[in-house]
Amino acid sequence: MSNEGDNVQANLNTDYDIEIFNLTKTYTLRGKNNFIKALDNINLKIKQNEIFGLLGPNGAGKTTLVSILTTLLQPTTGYATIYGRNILKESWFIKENVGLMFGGEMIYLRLTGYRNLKYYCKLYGIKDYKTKINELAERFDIKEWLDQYVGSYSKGMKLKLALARILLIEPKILILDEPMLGLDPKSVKKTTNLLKNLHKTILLTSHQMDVVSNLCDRIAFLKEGKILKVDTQENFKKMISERLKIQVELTSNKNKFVQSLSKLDFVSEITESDGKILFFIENENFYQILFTFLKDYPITHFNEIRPTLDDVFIKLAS
Amino acid sequence: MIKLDSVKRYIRQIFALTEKNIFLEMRFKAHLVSRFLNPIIQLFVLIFVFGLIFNIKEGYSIGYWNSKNYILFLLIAFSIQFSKSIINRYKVLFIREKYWKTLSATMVAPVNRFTLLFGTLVSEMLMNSIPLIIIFIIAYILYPISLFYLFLMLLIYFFIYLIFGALGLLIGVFAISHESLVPYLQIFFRILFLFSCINYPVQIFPELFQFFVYLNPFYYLFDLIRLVWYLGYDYEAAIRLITPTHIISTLLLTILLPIFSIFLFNKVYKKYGITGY
Repeated sequence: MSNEGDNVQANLNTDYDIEIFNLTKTYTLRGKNNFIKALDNINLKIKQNEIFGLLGPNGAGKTTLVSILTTLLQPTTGYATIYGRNILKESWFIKENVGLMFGGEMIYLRLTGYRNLKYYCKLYGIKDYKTKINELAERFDIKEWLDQYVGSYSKGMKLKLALARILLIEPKILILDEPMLGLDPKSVKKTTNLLKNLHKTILLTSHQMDVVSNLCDRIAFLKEGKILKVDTQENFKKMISERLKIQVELTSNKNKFVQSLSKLDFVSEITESDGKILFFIENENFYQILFTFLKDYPITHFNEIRPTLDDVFIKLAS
Repeated sequence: MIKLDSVKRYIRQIFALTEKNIFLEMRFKAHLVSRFLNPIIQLFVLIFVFGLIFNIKEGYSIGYWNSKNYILFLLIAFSIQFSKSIINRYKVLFIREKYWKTLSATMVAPVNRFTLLFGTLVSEMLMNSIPLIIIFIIAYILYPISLFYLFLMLLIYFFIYLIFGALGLLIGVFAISHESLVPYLQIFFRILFLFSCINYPVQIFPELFQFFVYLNPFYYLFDLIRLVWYLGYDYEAAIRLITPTHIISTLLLTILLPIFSIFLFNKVYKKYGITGY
């Protein structure tokens, strides 16, 4: 076990709520005489009140990272600080101030919704919990279900209860693993707004790109235990390609248009689908020339298709 | 220095864990019924066997067990066996919650390991209380003792629960991190309790095995609880049987075992966490 953290004095004046330094976690593989690095020298800084997304394919190490940050696991080497407090040395502070949600798990199916929430309120010493439980249950539309066993809840309702649980304990930092997987679009929108309005530091992992797009200020892409890139989503989209996909529709002269278009150096991959012509231009700098070219044709529809976060995910994951 | 606020908080957490465990158990009430009835059925078999042995010849005795006191000792043995189930309960609860992923939720909460020990302990004590009270009433009717000795019995029972809880926590941490080691630990405890003479007198063993019994601190613990009731019922017969080893073994087990098990729990949990799915 590393003792690197021992030499670090807690810097309570840091601008970052979460700081991760050279974090590595190795596991021994069953039946094999070797190790697997679930996390490989991770360095990361998350600002105050930032909503930070952790993306990556299955087995990338997201859950391991989340588990280490919430003291459920010990790193093999390296350390992390939360609010300037070393997670290896001040685990009690972490336990009191960090809320963890693993999807719709961590709730008792054999207890009613109310008993679940009451149990966690008492563990965390939440006062006036009855009022708070009712308020949150109303906000998540589960008030009528509070007296029912959680085993009878739908997946979405379990998620709502799990979210209510973590919000009830009022942590300073929220760590959410797949917080909205299984929620209907209305609930996703409602929950997204709710999380945005909390004005708290949130670290979330998700495979729902729309959730990450709407919620996260910055994103880290994790693959095979390593962070490939940390950036804003706009820069992520730019990273995968500067090429722009253009879609146009003409009333006539389609063949002549395609012939002339193919002669332009900065245009490639011209295809036709459902009467619409699709093509790529090298980058935004060629817009001016393209518009001049298009003026000579009867264009009825023009659309620029930018890469989505899904495209980024697929590109980086592969 | 322990602050009053912290103590209040731990007590609140112990009751939260207790309430949760009881309500989880109440979900399927048939489990509770079988939990109460199964040991009672076993008790009858032992009463018949010992009854037969002591009735072969008048005045026959094995050690200090004889036809006049064996029912008392078997009732006490039953109460110990019944309370002993708590050792396994920690394992069952921890494994169950490990797979439910609810254990992680408790472990990331600001919960002290003593809270974890006592939370499960109190819930098990409460759930075991009804059959234990019934056994106490039967024993009291057949072998009446004064309130002082009754209080002393309750105190030793609390010690026994604390010791069993500590052993439960010890198995529990391996259930969390090294599930494959649990059966080995259980075999070890089975042998340990075999040589602690809960249901029978030490004299049923050959002399060589009796040596192992006298080395076992649990023997003195269980013998003491028998003798305390016997002391209240027949002072002259019981007082010469209680030795300083009985008192010292009981106190050492009560103080050291919970501390050791919490120390080991922290060590193992810190190193391995919740693993072994």
